[in-house]
Amino acid sequence: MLLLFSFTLSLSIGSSMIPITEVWSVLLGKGDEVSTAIVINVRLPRIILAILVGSALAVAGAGFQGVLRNPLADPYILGVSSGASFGAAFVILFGLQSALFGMYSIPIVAFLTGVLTLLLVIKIAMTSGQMKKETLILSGVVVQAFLGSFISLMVSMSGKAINEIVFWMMGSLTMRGWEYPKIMAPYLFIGIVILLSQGRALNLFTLGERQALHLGVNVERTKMVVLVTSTLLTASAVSVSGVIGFVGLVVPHLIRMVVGPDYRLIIPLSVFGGSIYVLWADTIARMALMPKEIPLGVVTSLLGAPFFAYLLKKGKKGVKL
Amino acid sequence: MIVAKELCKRYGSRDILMNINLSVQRGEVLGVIGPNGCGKSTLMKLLSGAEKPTKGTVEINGKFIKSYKQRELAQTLAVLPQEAIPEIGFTVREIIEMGRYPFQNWLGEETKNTFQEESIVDQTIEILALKHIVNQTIENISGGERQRVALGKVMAQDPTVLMLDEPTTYLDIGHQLQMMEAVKRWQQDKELTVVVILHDLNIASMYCDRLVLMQDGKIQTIGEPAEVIKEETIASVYDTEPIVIDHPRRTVSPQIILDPQ
Repeated sequence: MLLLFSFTLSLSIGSSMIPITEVWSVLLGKGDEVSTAIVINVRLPRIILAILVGSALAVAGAGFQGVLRNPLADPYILGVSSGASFGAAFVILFGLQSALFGMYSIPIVAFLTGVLTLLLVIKIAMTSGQMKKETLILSGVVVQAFLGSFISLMVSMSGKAINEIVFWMMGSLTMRGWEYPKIMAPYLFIGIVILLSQGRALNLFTLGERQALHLGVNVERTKMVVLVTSTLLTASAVSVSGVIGFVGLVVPHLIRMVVGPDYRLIIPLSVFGGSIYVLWADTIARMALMPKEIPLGVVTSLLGAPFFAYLLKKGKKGVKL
Repeated sequence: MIVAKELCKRYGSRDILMNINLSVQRGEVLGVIGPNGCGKSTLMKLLSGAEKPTKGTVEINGKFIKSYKQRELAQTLAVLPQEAIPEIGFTVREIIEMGRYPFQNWLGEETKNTFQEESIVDQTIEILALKHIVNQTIENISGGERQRVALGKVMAQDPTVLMLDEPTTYLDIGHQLQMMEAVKRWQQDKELTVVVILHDLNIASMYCDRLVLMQDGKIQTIGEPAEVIKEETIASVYDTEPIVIDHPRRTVSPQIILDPQ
């Protein structure tokens, strides 16, 4: 309900205001030409992309938090964002934006480098067929720091490309058209279904890995499935939108504060929470300083941090959305 | 029934367990005792399938443990670990229901007998006198209650083989006995095969049919409590010289009185 409301409201807000009733008639195929053009071709794809990116990041965050049982876990904790940024910065620095895979060069390279980073992190953390969560987090930090230094190096070497790199890394959903949401939606759907199916196992993980094992969970396999799925979701989100911070960290925590520790609820609700969060952040990003746009990553953190701090202070009880 | 043959476990270049042979009959309670670092916990990890032995085999109910699927094993064997249940925000009832996991499909429905779940979870809550706190979260109950909830979770698992790793640690003497009595009643009721690690030799002597005394990764002595709890044996393993007396009201449970020099 809240998502549907946000969805229509966000469609109506923009450099030219369109009344909500008009938005509905457009969506039902009965609007006038100008409104239809704005809503269907400009706003709708962007809003749908915001929803997809938001849900991907939030649900991936829930997955990482479930497996790593670390309150600081977010979709970027294992270095996926650094890997993707590295790829994107490389492409931009050497002007390869359309050289490799046409208009999809940046997203494809960013996706691949993001996934490769996870493989590297897992390789470092794996000892005799097992991954300890502490080792995993630390190897994520190490790889992140290593790639981070390359990114800084590339940023410092780039003359006029510097703006483009930095803006990419701050995240944005500008000018994406219909292609991106269409590509992303099926993968997102599959990823969410896989994570949903692991909800019960993740509940047992809260008892500790050994207890989960004795209750019949295939611990190493579950860990791998959840980590890889969450990483693929994150990498796909980052590759189309850049690094949007805070969503994957905060949304699952907010949901947990409201509904409790059950991952069978946290995972699906994170999908909605993340959608709404990024949808509104993006609406603000394009509206607040019109006609200039604020990078989306800036808005999500700027709004999210104080809100989260307030909730932490207020305590777990009595929080209702 | 549990049979372990020539079990060895080595971490790096350190031998933790060397050539352990033992068997536990159906309906028997085997206590594992020994000083810190003697390999008790490692033995339990091997017997419960949490770790693989470097050498040797473990059979549970006539089948090699390595040929069980994780879920299948959990339907037969339950483990009550030493660590208390962490503060995870679930209610007492939700935690006990987790014990049903190996019997449920991915939607959380019982695969074998649908109405069995309700009754076994309810029965457990009843038996362990947890009814008044079923909807409390684990954070809000006492240490003794938490340990009963942990026991409730393994009871809901309805195993035939039970392993307990120091179930009475951190409990006062009243709660220690309450815990052991609850385990014993359940064990006798269902004829469970039990392996239990205990630090308290007096409790071990009273509740176990046989004891394994371990030292430096090997079995020092195995036998009935009266054969194991002897002054000279205890003195040589624990490096202290206690007094062993007969229990004033029981015939087969020698008791230890500490007597530091």
